[in-house]
Amino acid sequence: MEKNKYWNPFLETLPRDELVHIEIKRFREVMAFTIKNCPMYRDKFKEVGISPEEIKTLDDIRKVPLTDKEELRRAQECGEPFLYGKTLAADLTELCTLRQTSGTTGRPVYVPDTYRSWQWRVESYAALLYMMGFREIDRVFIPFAYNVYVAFWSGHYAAEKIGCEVIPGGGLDTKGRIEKIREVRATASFNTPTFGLHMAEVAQEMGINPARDLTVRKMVCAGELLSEPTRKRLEELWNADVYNQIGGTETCGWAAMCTEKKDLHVVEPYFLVEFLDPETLSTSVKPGEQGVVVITPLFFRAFPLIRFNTNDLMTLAKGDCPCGRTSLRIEKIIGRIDDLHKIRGVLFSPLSVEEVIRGKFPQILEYEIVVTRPSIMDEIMLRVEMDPTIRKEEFEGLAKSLQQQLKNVTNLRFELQWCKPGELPRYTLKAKRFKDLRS
Amino acid sequence: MRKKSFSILEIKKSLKKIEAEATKLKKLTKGIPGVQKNIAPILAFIDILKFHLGDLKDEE
Repeated sequence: MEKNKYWNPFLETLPRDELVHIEIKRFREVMAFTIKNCPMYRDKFKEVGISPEEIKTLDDIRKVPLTDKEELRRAQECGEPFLYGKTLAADLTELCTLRQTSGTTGRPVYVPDTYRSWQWRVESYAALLYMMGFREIDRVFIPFAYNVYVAFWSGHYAAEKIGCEVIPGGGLDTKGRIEKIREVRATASFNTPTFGLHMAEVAQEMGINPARDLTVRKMVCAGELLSEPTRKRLEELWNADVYNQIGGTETCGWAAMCTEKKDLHVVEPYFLVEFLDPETLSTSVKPGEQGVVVITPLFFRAFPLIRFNTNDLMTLAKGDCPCGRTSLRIEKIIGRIDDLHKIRGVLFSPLSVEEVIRGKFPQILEYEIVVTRPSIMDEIMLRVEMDPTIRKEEFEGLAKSLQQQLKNVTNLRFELQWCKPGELPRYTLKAKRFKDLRS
Repeated sequence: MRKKSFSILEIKKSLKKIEAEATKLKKLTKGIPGVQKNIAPILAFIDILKFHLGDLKDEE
């Protein structure tokens, strides 16, 4: 067994009641801090009439109102200082970084950090990377220009903190990035699932087999939902251990797979994470059930969050993990509640299509789901780009099998449309494979 | 939980000393940005060190 398996062997193996005790104490601290320093929370808690002294158990925490993204937007739009409005809990002169959300669902949320607060983001991400097996010996290639988005910045600094060599891969095209991985013999990489698949495809076009010719043996995937079949496909393509990791700009990375590669561990006690009943949002779900994830980062101070509703639906795992960590675990990520669509009265998650395609149809290189409503009924079309080595005669049998399997999983009938090689867009960060054209 | 092969109490004492000295240094060096800016990271990391060990109970 590895000598130093844990980032902190004591905290990571604490009995659950002790872990919860620490988190409740830290929750009280961050709540008291926000009342003193953050106008948004000061106003909110005053209105509700709740104080940190009342918080003694997890049930007490449920009395504290949730925070959602729209509320953060509103608080940033009104008042001073510019950009941060009432969400800022630090002096402007102390700030050292500014990141933001992508703004795909409205005005971006701007996330400031002081040096001190930023170090907490780096620290909690370092704990995640360590859990995923990143070590001093690793040479980590990050094939992105990080821009104003936090994900790879925290990953970059966290890998440095662990002692890895970090190579930023922005400003190169995909071929250039593959060449750089080969040139420096990178042993690890950060990726999005979509870009990991795309890089493997481009490498093969260049005559490079990533599994054989490249040295990446660890890959963290974030930024998009990663289905288990896609994770396994990436492992085959790269001959690497591929780890799922989740987080967001507001919260930072807060859960990831350990080297068992089964469930995702919440990185406790950096975060207090609740899994709430999707209907009521007022009680916790039991292991094995699906819950909406609500997060309180316990150490971020410049832009504090208390009970942030991620709107993500996930299944809380049962039992223990063989790795020995006692943290809460996620068995399955169902998706963002906003990403579930009603089609012909059926609740549909695009992730179910991803699971079928990546799990059972490796001949399909790329796909796109298009929903329309030409008259009364919704129509759902799957546009498919096949591996060019597949013969046309095989298409019919494949189409039947694909339609049947999609029907079994989604209870919906899909029309199929074959696309030419390269016709469908390739994505690097957030893939948009679902298009709802219903007006 | 892992058995601790060290004294949490000693560690907590040591952290407290470092924090007190860094805070003192910060006060003494007002007006010297080059020093002030290098103390800030020390205080940030003391915060994290306290997290790693500060909540543990001593078994001795």
